[in-house]
Amino acid sequence: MSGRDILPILACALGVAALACVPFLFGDYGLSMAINIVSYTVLATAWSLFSGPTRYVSLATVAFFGIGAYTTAVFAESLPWVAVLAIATCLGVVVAAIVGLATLRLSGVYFVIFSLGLAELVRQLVTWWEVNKTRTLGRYVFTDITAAQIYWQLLGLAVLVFMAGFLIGRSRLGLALRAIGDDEVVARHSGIDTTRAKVALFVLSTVFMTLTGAIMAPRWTYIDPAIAFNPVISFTVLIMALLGGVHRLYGPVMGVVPLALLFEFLLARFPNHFSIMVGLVFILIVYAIPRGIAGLVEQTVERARRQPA
Amino acid sequence: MSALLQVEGLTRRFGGLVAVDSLSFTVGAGEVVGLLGPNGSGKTTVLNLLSGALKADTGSVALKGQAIAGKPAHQIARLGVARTFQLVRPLGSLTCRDNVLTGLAFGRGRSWGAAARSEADTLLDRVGLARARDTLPGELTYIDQKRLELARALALQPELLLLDEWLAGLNPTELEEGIALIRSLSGQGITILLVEHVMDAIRSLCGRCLVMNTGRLIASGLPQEVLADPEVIRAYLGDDGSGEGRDA
Repeated sequence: MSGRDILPILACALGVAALACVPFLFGDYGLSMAINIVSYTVLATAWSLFSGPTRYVSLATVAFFGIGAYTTAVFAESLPWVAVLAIATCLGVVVAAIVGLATLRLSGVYFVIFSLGLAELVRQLVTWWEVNKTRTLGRYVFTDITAAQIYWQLLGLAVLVFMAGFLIGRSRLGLALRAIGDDEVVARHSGIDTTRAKVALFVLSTVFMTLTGAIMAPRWTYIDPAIAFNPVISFTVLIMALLGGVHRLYGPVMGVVPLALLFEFLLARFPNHFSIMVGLVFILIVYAIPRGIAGLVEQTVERARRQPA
Repeated sequence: MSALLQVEGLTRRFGGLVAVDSLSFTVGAGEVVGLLGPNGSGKTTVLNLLSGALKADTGSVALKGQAIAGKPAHQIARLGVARTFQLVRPLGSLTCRDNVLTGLAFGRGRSWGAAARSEADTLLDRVGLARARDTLPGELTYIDQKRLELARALALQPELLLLDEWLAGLNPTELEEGIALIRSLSGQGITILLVEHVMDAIRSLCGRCLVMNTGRLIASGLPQEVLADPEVIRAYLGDDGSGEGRDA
């Protein structure tokens, strides 16, 4: 490895180390904002790992997030934390593999609708189970995990999702997914097993979502299906990823930070008009910056480079 | 010459329409065979069946004795069947080099990294796109997009190359280059089955021609023979108006 390779790695490591200090520097409010931002960073980056290159728009984010949250709610008191995370991972993988194999043959709008339906289906199933089998609709999540610990776990997960994205981008699988996004028929005729590639990445992407849900659950102390499977989470992730730009690994985070701050502001100031405002923001993003902030930045850089020549 | 491709009783229906009707033929290793016929006679459907884009209703396809009918397209591609499309389909967000890399990375070679990149550049040179390695296909002319598609097909290291009107729409100079390119591929040992309407190309390239009409094979043989066949002429041009042959 030459010095040129080490420099960016060193910069990233320093950045992560600086971010890890957040719990010591800011108060409770600052920490809760940071948790919010990092969790959405993981969700939006994981979302665009799959949906970015393949252009399969998924609204199933919250299905996996909720599965993770419920895993924590059910097992956190009886099992060690590592085991809880392992169970969440396994559940996420199994559900994602089944769903992926069944649905990734669908394309375009059919997949979007299915993914939205899936989240609702999982929510209804959990509700049915809780009402009829366990006779409780809500659950308390009692753990001794502190907010700072949640933040550090999410930060670690964020590092993992970026590393996964970086490695996939340079791998055969990354090329396969971009080819699939362009033209699935051509991809198949180029020898790409499109179903396997899509399912593999769908599973990977949803594992990060499931783990985010599992890690975040202790924040709530009380969860019920309406909280854990709130469809707004799916839409928020989608909007954030699109605002940032899904064609670059660093894109989604550029959408997460401004929108998380904006939503915080809107929720505080206009709690009753929040949904309308979010809708307006969404429309604005799609019309004004279809390639996201990352696309905008690239355009500006490109223009600046051409001008002196 | 041993048969590289053996097709038996291949049939495909679309609703009530029999697009390909119990078609049987063989292509020997190293041959260049033209697949002719008027529009709508089922030529492209045959290519789609051979490459796995469509599944046959009945019939068998064997490549070097191995049954490939019904296999998914990516497996057929890896077994050595590559194709181009009638309307060009470049991968729009990938550079020309990456377009070719898809074939290299997932084809029989399964090469990756620096070796694959230099192989991709060699293939782009070969089809005359050396200058366009880092360009996006959208910036290429139609002809160059066709060249790119050919390079991507060649990246699979095919034994059988299916060309769907690859020479259509070329000007006379480009046509000459195109014919020379196909001939050089054949010289390299690649077996070629081409759907084509450009008669000059058929005469100069094909050792043998198959002619289809309404899903059936109506003639097969040397190009000059089949092109003079009365039934082939009738299929292309219709009856001569005397009333003969319509019911024959």
